[in-house]
Amino acid sequence: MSILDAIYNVVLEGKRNEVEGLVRQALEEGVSATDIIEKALRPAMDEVGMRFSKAEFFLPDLILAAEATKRAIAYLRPLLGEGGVASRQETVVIGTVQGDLHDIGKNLVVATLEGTGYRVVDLGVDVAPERFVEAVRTHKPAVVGFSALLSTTMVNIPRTIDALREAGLREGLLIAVGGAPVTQRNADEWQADIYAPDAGTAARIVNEKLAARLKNQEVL
Amino acid sequence: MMTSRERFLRTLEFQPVDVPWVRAYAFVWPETELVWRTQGYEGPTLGWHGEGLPQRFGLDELLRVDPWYGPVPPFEYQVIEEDERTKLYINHEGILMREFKEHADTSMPQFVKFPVENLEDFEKFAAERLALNPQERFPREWQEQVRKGKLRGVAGAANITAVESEANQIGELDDKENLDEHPRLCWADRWGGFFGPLRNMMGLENLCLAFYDNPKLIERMMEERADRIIEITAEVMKYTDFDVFWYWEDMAYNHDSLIDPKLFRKFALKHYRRVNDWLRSQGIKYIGLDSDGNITKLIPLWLESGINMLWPFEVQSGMDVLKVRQTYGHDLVIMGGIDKRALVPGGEVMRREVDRVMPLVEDGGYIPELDHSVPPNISWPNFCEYVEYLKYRLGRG
Repeated sequence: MSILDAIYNVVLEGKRNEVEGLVRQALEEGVSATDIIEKALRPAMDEVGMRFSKAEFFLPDLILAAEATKRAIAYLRPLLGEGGVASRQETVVIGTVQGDLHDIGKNLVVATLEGTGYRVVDLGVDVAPERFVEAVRTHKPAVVGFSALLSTTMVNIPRTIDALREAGLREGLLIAVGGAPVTQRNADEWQADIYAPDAGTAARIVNEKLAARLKNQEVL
Repeated sequence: MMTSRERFLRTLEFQPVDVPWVRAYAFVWPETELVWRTQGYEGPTLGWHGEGLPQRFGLDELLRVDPWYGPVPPFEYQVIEEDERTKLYINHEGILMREFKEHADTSMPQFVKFPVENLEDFEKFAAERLALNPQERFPREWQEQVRKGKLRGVAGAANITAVESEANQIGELDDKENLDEHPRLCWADRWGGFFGPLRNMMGLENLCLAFYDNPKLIERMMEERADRIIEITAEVMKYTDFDVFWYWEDMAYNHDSLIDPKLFRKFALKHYRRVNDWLRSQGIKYIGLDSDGNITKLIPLWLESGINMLWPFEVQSGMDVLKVRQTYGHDLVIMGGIDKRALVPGGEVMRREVDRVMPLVEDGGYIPELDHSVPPNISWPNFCEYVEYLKYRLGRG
């Protein structure tokens, strides 16, 4: 078994105390930080998300795997200088929309996105549309994600999308939506680009959408 | 003519009844009453249990005799910081949480910190707050209510501060002799169980990790809960009997169980069994459990442990009481399962939803009612329409 396979497996098994040693070993063997992320950590988190969506994995599996990947990324981050993997890591701005204080689902999505290597700007809970607008202006993310737990608060998702549109920030920005009451139908109505039915799927769908957009840009 | 209690118990036993036992709903969100008052509702303050609605509509009641199973003495309410819209405070269970100042009951708070992080924290918490402490857990007021048969669904309400505030609104039954007319429930709300109560102490994420990182802590917490549930319930039985004991777990979300049922089974089964065996030895035939969300994968574990009633079967989470009955037959008594969302448009949508569950009423072992509390987007006229239609279908109106 290669060292990358070993890293992949410990993430999948949520053995977060073992991941750092294996990452160190991989670097000593000459594997680049980029390859560790792209060929072990990201595929492992994709697999974890997939198994969570298929109800083969449960919440603790997701939390443990995300924690393992976060530790690996934290170890690798100082090695990812300008022009390295960091320049290919898009930023995701995320928050729970105004009127909603619940953040367990949002926090899980943050963990899996960070675990997958994204730079995540977490705006927290009860985030007003103008704060999202300001954050998008400041951080220039590739993706902005909105979470809502309640049917009474999810109405603030389209309001926030409208605020971004009115600020002239909608174009080129991928908008992701999720939360217990949110459905694909809602996402379509709001013209959101990404709908994640659960926390385990979010990172994988963001990966796919960003990859598709990159491919389109290359074709053009 | 059967009493309400006889009717209830025969329903649970899948036996014929003169007319079906009907409650229609279990709880009403406080914000719902505010909306209803703008829509024509003019009755008394409803509280969680909809005070006055059973009398208004001629519904049956499941009287609660439970004391508070949680932290006693409660943590002192302490506001840490606040702004115009929210406040950060420590609640009666020791949880540091941020909540909206308005409509706090219908929004979910942000849980910031929990009182237990390790075994040392837990032992301290258990010694200081979870002991039987009969003077505080069974205050004179509770004893009086039980003695007079005045309990009507507030004694063990989730928030112990609410117990005090609602105490004056407790409706009095017509007379003590009528006490046996109503079935009685002992609901260990928020603290009777082996997942929900642990989450109250540790938070969801920390609890999930502890199943892997700190199994000794999980084992100790479950053992303590089983000990206390038995001890507190034994004390209840010194004052009153009851027909149904009820756990509280809330351990599923809209798609699935929050934790791998196999893992949970490994830890929790023996503790459920110990409590359930003890309850049965005390003559309690019906043991229920409250868990929202999609509980499909958890039902076998609960049945195996001796639990034989479940509530509320949320349709929006994919639960279908007809399928559950097909799968488990008469091994499981079902309460709930009527999609509350159908009452929002009302009319034909509501009638179709009520009609959908009628085969279970025929089959027995089923209490038809909403699949959780009545939310504020169900209007008062639509709620009335629903109750009247349900009664009509049950031959009660």
